[in-house]
Amino acid sequence: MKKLILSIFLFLLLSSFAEAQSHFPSRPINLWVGLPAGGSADVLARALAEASEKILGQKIVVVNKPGGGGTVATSLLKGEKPDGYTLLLTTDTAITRAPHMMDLEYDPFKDVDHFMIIGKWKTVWTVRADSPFKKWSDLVEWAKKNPGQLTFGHCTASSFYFGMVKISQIEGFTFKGVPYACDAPTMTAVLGGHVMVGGGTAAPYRSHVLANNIRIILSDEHIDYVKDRQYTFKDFGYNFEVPLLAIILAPKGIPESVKKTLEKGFLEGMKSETFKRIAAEQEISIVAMTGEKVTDYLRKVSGIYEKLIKDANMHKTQKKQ
Amino acid sequence: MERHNLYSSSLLLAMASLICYKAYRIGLGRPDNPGEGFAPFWISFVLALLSAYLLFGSYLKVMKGRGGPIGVATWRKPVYLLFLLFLYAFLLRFLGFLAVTFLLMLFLLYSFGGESLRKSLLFSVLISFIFYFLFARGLQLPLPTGLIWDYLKPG
Amino acid sequence: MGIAEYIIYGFSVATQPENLFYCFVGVFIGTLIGVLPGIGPTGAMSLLLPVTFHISPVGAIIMLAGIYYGCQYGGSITSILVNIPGEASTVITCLDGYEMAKKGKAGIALGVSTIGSFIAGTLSIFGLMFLAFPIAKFALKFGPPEYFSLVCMGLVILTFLTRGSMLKALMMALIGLFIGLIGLDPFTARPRFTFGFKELMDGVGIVPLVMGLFGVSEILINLEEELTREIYRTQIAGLYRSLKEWVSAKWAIIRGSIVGFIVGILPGGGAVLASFVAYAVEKRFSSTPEKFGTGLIEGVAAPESANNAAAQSSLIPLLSLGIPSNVVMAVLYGGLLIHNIQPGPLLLKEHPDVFWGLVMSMYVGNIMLLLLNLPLIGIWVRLLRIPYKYLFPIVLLFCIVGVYSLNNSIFEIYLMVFFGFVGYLMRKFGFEAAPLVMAYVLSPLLESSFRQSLSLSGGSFSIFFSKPISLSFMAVALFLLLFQIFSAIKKGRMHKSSF
Repeated sequence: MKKLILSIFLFLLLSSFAEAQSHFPSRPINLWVGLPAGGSADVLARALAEASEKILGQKIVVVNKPGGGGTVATSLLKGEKPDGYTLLLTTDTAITRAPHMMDLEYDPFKDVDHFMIIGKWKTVWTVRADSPFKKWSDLVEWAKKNPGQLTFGHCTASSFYFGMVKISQIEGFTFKGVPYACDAPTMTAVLGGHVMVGGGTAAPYRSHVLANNIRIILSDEHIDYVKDRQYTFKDFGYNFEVPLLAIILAPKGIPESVKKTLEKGFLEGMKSETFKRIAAEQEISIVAMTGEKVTDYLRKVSGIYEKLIKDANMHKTQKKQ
Repeated sequence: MERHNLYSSSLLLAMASLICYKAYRIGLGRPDNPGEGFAPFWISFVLALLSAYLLFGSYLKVMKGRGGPIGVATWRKPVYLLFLLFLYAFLLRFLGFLAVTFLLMLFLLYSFGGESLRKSLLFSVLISFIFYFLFARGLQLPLPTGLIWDYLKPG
Repeated sequence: MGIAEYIIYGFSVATQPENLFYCFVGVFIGTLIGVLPGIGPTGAMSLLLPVTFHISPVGAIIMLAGIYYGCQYGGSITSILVNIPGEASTVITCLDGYEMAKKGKAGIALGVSTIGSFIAGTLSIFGLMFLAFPIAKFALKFGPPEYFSLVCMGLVILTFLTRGSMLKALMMALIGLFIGLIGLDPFTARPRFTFGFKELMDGVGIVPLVMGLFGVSEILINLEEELTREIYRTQIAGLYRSLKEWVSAKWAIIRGSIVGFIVGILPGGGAVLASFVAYAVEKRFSSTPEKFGTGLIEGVAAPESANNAAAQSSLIPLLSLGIPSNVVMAVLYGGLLIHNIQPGPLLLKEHPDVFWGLVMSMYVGNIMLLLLNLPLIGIWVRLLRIPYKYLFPIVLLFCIVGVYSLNNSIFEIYLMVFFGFVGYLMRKFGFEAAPLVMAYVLSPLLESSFRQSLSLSGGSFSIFFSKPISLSFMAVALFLLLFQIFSAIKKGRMHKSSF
């Protein structure tokens, strides 16, 4: 038994060979992704890692830690060492929406650093090509005449849903939300005519819009692939924001010098052709916001969503129906 | 099997009743908008009924003296392994993949396999290093490296 | 261009040396991943995503797809040899495959699994070539009520799976349904039955569930006895005898292929559900259903053909509609997007090289897999000679690494060990795990389609019976259910062996 314990100890000692750290980054950086592999955020993260590692001079390893729309990864991030070797790319769900809907193990504005915002997904409202709603105004008119009859397919508790809530408040109509498991199933429901209108990110619809199976009747900003006249929020005087953002979070308290190095690396990487091309294909507008502004902006967005979540009766403090 | 059924059905009945109650508390919703508790409620409700049926039937048979005893003698090793595996998962974060894998392999070979200490040591070192190089280096899987080493490092 | 020209064109794309190389790399990695228990295709494919930044789009997609269907070939090996599934989609192969191995027929079982996979692969490539677009159009008719009725039919089919007591099988199915509901509510995104674990928000993963219930529990059971497990006769049967057995399974292979092809198109199901349904259907068709689970060759041939057919047919919604129907397809979708290829109705027009190149490369890949796997059978069978005391720690370690790598989360290891314990108890107390797993797979679709339907209909149940497709599924489900109850009563199974 003595021998056994001694050998264990020796082995443990051997496997802890020391490694001197002089400057940042001296070893690979872990970029977590709070969403599953293959998704839009994952592809964006991999493109960013690929472009930025050349500038930072160290490998950036993309690690998927999916769960609860990024909230699981954010809770885990809270416990990581703030040395700049662990970062999290996720959507703003974990900061601006989920905390209003469920009890989480972290405070979105106290427990993590809001490192940067890198992009914003373009949001579209779509109908099938043979829909009687030729224009957005047709839909609004019909929905006003038939209260609660408009069926709207969307991703559960997403920015698209709360965007629709906001619009319905402005226009004064009511609708029936039918939640699907995000983009692909929502698109299926629109294509199959199971819902009258669907909401989601712009990229998956490209092929069907170009094949004239689906029409985009409203979007929050200009969509490059749409050839016809398009209607955006501006055309209807919707001057509010319901964004879906790609953000990078970090454990609280990263040294300033490390922060500067990372910022520079990522900002340079975002200027690369690969990153620009992949962001464009995913219909993501590149944002590149850093520093104090990020927290201020997220706080504002969080406030917008908190109100809408309460209006939709989905706030965690509200009694369920 | 009758005595087995008596225990398993009691456990399932208790579990199902608990879920049923919880689901009811969560809320069943309305017909046009079934709530979060709707599906769990009905699923556990039917499960409770079936468990009760099984419980009743096996109770009758055990009463008639038809249930054999349950042996516990063979449970020692499986329970021991389960304990080791939980310990493995627990220590993984602190000691890192290489170290805990080595320890697990050592225990499995030494105390389960009945190998000599020398042989067990050799194989454990071999297996843990092969796995480490295959997955952490070869496939670039981010296996835990162990928090403890971060603190032991100078600087 | 007519279809023949497209096929020739596809072949010319697939047989370019570069693409042949990527195809081989894909199927080779796939086979390896399939063999290793617990390690699935999703991880390997997402790891290779950045690599594909630098190679041609056709090559990239050929390689990624190769990993997925290559996996279906390798997955059955550990199922048959050590009763531990290599993939979630080869769980059901354990039932008869392992029994065959015990009888010294491991070689025949491995052979029928490879040949079945090959035939199924070939058949579904034809399906893919000629039917992809019409089928995709038809699939769009499936809204929430249709899916609900379809899942109800699936639940009835599930009752065919069981060998022992029907009552206990139903209880397990209900538990499976419940486990499938754990996680964020699909309508309100509020955590439900997560027992305070944040990691359970996205639900219980299928890999830790399956690896625990089947893999870890098998090891636990084996540990009860001394580790000098008998070494099964491992000689490979003569070619003639093997051939005779393989030919006898031809209808099982064809039925399995058809079932797999159809199930593979449905969302969420993929290869896992296909293998379960194929096994259940095969049992229903069989003249000796009571022999299933005792080492019947049909019990290996049908699910192994089905999972490969499903792996290939699940490409249909992705390629023709741009809709990824399961996690693996989502990764493939990501791979296409990286190269600015938008799968969907325009794929044929915009990128004929991708569509036809991929389809034809799958044919080439299946031939490669056949040539790769048949000679390997002899080597795999020899694995059985490794003493169990060395084999089980290594297998266990693969399971651990596999479940960890899913989400890079230690929690998944805990979950697997927990289900290992549950599976052990279930075996001790005479409960089967197969109905539980199948119900678990169906559960999320069952609930969300039910709630979506009622939300659309305003609370009226007539929505399930007023649409022709939905109504016919309901009718078939009812018919099968009555038939099942009737035959159970006739055999006295409901009463005799339920207690």
